[in-house]
Amino acid sequence: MKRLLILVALIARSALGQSAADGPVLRAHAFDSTGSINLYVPAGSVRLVAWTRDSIVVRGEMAKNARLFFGGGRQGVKMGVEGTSRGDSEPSSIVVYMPRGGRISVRTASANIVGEGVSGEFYSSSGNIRLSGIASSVEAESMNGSLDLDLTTPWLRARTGDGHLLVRGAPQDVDASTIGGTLDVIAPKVMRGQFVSVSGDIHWIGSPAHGSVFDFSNHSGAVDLALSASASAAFTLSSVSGPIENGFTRIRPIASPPRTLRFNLGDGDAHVSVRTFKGAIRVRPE
Amino acid sequence: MIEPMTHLTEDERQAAADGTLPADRRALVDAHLAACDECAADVARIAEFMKRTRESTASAPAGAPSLDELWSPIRARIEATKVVALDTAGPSTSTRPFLWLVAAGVAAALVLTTFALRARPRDSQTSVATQVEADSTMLRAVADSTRAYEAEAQILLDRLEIQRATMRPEAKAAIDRNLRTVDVAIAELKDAIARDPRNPALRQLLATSYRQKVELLKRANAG
Amino acid sequence: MNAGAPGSVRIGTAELSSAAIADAVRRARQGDVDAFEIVYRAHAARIYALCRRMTGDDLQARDLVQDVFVRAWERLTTFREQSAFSTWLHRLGVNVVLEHLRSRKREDSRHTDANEWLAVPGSPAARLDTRMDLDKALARLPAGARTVFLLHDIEGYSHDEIAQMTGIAPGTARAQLWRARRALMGMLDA
Repeated sequence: MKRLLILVALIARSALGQSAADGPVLRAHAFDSTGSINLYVPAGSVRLVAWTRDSIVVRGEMAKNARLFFGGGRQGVKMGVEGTSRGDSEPSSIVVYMPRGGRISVRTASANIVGEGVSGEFYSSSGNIRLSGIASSVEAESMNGSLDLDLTTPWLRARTGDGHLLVRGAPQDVDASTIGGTLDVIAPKVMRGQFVSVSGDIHWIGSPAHGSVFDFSNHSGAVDLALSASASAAFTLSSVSGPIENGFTRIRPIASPPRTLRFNLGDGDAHVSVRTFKGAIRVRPE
Repeated sequence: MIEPMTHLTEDERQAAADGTLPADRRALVDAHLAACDECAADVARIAEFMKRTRESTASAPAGAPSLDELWSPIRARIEATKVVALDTAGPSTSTRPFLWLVAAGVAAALVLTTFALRARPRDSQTSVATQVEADSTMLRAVADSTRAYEAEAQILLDRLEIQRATMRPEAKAAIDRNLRTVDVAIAELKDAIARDPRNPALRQLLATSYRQKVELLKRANAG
Repeated sequence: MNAGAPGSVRIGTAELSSAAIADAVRRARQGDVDAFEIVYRAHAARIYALCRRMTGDDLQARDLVQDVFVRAWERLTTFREQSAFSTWLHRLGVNVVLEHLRSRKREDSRHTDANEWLAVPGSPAARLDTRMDLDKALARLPAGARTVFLLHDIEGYSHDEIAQMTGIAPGTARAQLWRARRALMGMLDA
């Protein structure tokens, strides 16, 4: 039994361990399990990995003529890629291993960000952001990059302009919006969801959790709700001038004002509200 | 088994004092406390401290200031998120009740969004002049509220203008593209409100679009 | 956690029952700002106390009270009436203050290399006047320890709840609490 435990521990340790493929170690530092990290990488890629050790390790390949600046102590560090006048546009590849309970604020211009089990704020001007795993809270923003957020977290805030925004996994409170980008939501455990776009289509697949509250708002994009057979909620769909398409044949609408469709599915106490200016609203079986 | 002379760990003393000891440890810790005066005294001291703490915080902190004056700025912030007050209790002229639909407010005001029945009874007791007055009041309110958003957006646009010189061309293009999308939406909503000033859904959508614009500009400035 | 609904509350010269406050919450959920003022007056003192203790500063606390009630207004429709409103509001208040503390910690992070516990208790020089009240002693604690102590010993949250709210491990929360208690006992000569 003891041997088995040691074996499991060794496997876990190697799974958690760093990879030489990440590039040479640039910095390694003892760090508080709840410390804060500030990271700036203009171009290239950033990979963030949460681990259960009280330390941070930075690996990677620096752009030519660029250097890693690094300052701070056990509770907080500030680091990033500093280039020459042309260095900012040269791609660097940075991998940061950090304590699971820590927080990071990462900012990039065009560098893509990938994070596993990390919490904090993630901003990229044009890079894509892909986050997964368990986090205490996440705020992810991009101007026109795409966001793929597959998270288990109590709080998620996501923004992009015309990039694609995908919310999946098991977030609880979600506030997500795009300007022109498509917004896809496949997250069955959301308890309070607010999904907004100006001209991008919003697609929601699944069924609202018991007691959840959803609010969808769009100007000219469509809002498409593909509901599973078990969906149970009170729906209020209203559009100023867009069509409302009811794909359910067995729904009997409740008396409603013009350009509004109200109906209940099942006997759940979830509430789903959809509002558009001229975008179509579609509700249909999954 | 905990020997009397090995003393309890800090974890055990604290948990014994606040009652959070796991059930399977309780009997052993109690037995040790019965036999060890030093640990028992320390646990009692922690428990006494916790009791005093609870007593002293049972009421508001001494000298708590009056909080009445905070309501006014709170109300101002709430109103600022609404574009205009969304209740229709004002100059309604309909003889039929408005039909209300509950809609969660977008990011800010969580309010009852109402959809007025479009077919206002022209034969109601209220004069056409009163209706015109009501509409112009609502339009003035919309104008006042949107001015606040536009002022905030303008500050952010001015700041952005300074940053443009150092921005990458593709970043500038993305910002401009997104701004155009939001501005088109805002213009369409303003037109629609001018035609139908008392439609609260339009005002709600306008507020949402303005918030999108302000957030977009903040994001652009952050980059 | 112990943030129960008040039985009644005095607002101006009027004594409002908890039923009247519950009615005000319902009306506020429907967009009635005047009703929300009643809600504010019923709960402001508790929220101020929470913010004051967690930040140790009156001015910050007053700003945070505003943030908490504006956030509460924004999220009112997400309040489900199965739970007590005061519990919901209290939890929301804790989250607002924690966000504030986190952002301040990020701003300060470059300047907090040293072990912040070094300056707290233990040495005779660090020992405070025994008459000093708890609020003043709390203000001398490191922010993380103060937060955990307040959430656990004053507000009644469990270690698991604290871990979820603050993003730290339950074991770390426990260790912070032990150290906070010892530090306060030292400062207050308890």
